Amino acid sequence: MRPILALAFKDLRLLVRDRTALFFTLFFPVIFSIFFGLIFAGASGGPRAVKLAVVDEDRTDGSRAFLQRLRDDERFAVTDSPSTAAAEALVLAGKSAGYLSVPKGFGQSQQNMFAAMGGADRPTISVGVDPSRFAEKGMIEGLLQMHAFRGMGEMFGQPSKMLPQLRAARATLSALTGAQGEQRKDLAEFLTSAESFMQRQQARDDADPADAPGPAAAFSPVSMEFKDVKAPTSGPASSFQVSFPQGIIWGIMGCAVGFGISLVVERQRGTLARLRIAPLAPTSVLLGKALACFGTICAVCTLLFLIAGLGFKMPFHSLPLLALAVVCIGVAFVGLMMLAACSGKTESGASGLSWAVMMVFALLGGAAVPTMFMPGFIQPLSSLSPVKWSINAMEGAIWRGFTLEQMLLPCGVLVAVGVASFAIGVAVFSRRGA
Amino acid sequence: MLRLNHVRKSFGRIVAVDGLSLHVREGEVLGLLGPNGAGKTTTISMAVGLLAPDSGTIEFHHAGRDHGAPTDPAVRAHIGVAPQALALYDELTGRENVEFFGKLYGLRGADLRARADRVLDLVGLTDRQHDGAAGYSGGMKRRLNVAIALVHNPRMLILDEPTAGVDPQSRHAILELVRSLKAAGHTLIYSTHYMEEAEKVCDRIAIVDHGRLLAEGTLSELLTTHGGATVVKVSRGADERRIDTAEPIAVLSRELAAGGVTSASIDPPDLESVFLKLTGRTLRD
Repeated sequence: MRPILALAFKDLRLLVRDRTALFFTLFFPVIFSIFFGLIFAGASGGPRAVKLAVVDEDRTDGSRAFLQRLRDDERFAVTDSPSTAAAEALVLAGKSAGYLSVPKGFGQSQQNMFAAMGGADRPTISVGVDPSRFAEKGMIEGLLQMHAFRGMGEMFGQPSKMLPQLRAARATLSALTGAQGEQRKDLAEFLTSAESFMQRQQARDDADPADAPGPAAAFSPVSMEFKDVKAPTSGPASSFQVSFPQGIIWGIMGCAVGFGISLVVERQRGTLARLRIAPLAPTSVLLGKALACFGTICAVCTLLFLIAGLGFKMPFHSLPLLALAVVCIGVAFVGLMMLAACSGKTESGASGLSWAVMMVFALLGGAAVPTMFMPGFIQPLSSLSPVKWSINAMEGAIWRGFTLEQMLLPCGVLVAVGVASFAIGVAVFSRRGA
Repeated sequence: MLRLNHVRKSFGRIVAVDGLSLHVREGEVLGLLGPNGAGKTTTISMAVGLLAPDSGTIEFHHAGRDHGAPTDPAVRAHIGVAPQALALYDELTGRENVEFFGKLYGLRGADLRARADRVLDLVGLTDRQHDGAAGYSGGMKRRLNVAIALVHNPRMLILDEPTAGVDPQSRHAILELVRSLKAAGHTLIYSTHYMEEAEKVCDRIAIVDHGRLLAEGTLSELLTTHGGATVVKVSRGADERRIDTAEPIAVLSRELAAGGVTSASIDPPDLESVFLKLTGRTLRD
């Protein structure tokens, strides 16, 4: 076993010192996974806040409280803007879906909700929205209405603030001359009743503050509860659950081709002959190479899944099943490595043919475009590719929610491919000699 | 120590080795002399178990318990080979190359380190042992090639064209190394197409061509048997005479006494003339 380990460590050392090979084996898959994961993050339905530029021309406690409510809402990504013109520029540049400008007098109007009865002008919040972002426009409108109503609800829930406004409104109503007698009577009754209600509420709050219902609860017209509705196995929860298995496959293919070609190179430069002269069993040299290839595949998978899990919070359905998938994928691609080793007599010949075959496997198997997006007539052909079964096994353990029984098919196919390929590769390679 | 009996090997219709028999004795340096394509490397490949002969047998014997055909890994453990092709890993340092191959022969720990120190010192690469082999000169790579063959202290060392393409300084170093190994009691097969090297370091020489053994013996035996007479060359102006003789001094004295000699030389027989006589062509043809 020691010579086989020595051979494997030698190959790993050669890999580490070959910067190009190391890049395509370890770093390219990482870049691939993150790049495509980020590209498809929006398409997969991940949470995305509406970008909103805000301008506070009022600069009062009332305006600040209103804008703070928007900032606290995770559905908005609020950017402060110094002027309405600057906010408009952000929308025109596509950097914000819309803008909102709080005018002077907004805070004052919040202190006197019934000022309009006396004919006073109500300050108007101006909202600008990019018309091409139709869905976001509706969302902004709805959310702003909600926050405005919530502000009013909070006001009604605080008798100490509301009572002075009600008294002021009654005084204003008494002084009015233009209002119709019937309408004035109705308003007076409403304001009197509201004032009485607020006084009683004030008394209850003073008697037992802990038992008092919250302001919002008192005046919320409807109570809503939101749930995330999704089927657990209907699709990936994150685009990274798709991009990382794809990226890993590219790394594994590079690994298999690289180690396969290294056997051709060893034969060409004579080191293979030297290894065969050493007092080793005939298969030891190939087992050493296989061990190094298998170890590298496992390292690539582990590294990328660690990055996915820790860096991108990618959830895993089952880590033991994922480990099983990685082992089976390793077996399959070690076998393919042996086929790559006997695919040509020169480095360039073997490399060209190996990559041509791997590219077909990759394209058919969903390493470039997920098989679910492929035309219907191609999807059955993908079963001929070990890449498809590799991705299927990884996805089964990551987001498809496979059971052990469901894992047996892809894992069985992968092991069969690996064993058959390795046996053929060893036979052909041994016949060719050193 | 190593005996090849009527060994034959062909590749398709090309017969590389044709019924060759050879005996390498313990402690000697046997030169395998022949032009490129004579079958030397194929013979060596069979001698170390890398190729199986089509017919004939190869046996390795020594005082230890492991003997038999070199296809047996236990037998191969006693043989070291420096192949004609530079079988090194350019990505590794000189020391890493030596230690890696040492591990394949079961060496490890302090023993491995000591052996690596010893052979790197022997080939004069101690100062450059931690440099990548890719940066070595051709001569240094040849010496490292030999160091790797020596790391497990083999009972028999086979050097296949060890000075091919090296500078005079490295060639001298390699020939000195062969002499020191011989002095230390190693058995060597030294394959070359340079007759001067064979004359300098080999106890016995086997001349091969077209896969066949043409002659075998010590240098003096070969010269006596196949070298022919000494040639005295005498020039008188444009006229040059070649005189084959067993008494060159007497012949030259007589010619000088006759007068009119513008130049004269005595050419004793050498391996070149032996090869010429055996094959009808020179080694460099």
